[in-house]
Amino acid sequence: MKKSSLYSLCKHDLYLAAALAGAAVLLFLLLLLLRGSQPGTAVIITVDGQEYGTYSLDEEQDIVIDTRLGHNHIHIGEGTVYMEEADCPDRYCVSTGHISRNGDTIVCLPHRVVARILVLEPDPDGQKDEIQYDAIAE
Amino acid sequence: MARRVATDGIFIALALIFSYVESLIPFHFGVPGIKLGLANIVIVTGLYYLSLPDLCILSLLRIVVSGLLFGNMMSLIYSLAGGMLSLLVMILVKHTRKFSAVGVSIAGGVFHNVGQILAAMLVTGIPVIVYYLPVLMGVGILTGFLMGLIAGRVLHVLNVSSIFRQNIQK
Repeated sequence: MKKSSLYSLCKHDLYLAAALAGAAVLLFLLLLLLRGSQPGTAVIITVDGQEYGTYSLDEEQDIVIDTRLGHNHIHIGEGTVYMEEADCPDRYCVSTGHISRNGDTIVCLPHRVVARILVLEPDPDGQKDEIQYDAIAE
Repeated sequence: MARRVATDGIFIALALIFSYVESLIPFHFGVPGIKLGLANIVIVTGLYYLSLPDLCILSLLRIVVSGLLFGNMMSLIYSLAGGMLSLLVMILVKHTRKFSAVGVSIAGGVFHNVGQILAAMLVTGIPVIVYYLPVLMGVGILTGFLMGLIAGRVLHVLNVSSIFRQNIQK
């Protein structure tokens, strides 16, 4: 390779950029496929990897989480979930807005709070799935 | 030896100033971890200008010192993972001798963000942040390209100037 081309853009650089861009697009499509499109029915909230609670989306409620890392206020209602307020420095979680579809998430990275939408199969008695399976088994 | 100390000192000082300027720019684009990577201009230049051990010390010192001065513990861990992976990839890409400083910088920009996200996934135990990765990779290509163009220009000037030429690796 000529000395002059060692420092300025060459053909191979563009191939490299294109390959990396292709990898990013592939990853994006893969993640998009993994993400469901059906409306969720519940939200699971985890703090520092541990389950904090699972809540139905039909019930209007406010979840306030105060840990040593900080304060988060999640609002649930009318099939959607959003971060009402948080005292984290970047506030990306608040700017995420409303989530409602299966697999959607709100992440508050500094406080390690994650809200993830789920689809829990409803049953007529409003009881847990396991109980229903047991009844069928009998 | 004196020349080596002086040269390394200039590089570390420049890298820290660039990190400081970077920390003054408020960048909020809806995805955490996006930044210009101004200090990467110094690292890419150093890649062609310093010996490999000095380059590794430069990169490590820059990250630790700027993390302590301008960041917090978490940002230090993320930068360390990103910076080390990025440096490794840049050394390998340069070693192939197929790419210019711009290509080296693009690979560095992308893998800095890859390392950062992997570290964040491990540290926080929140795997869903992998969703940020495609965006961060795209941003890495763009910022890596820009910083690479600047580093290439700097190297060109260093190569022309007779005081510095003898240090440039062929």
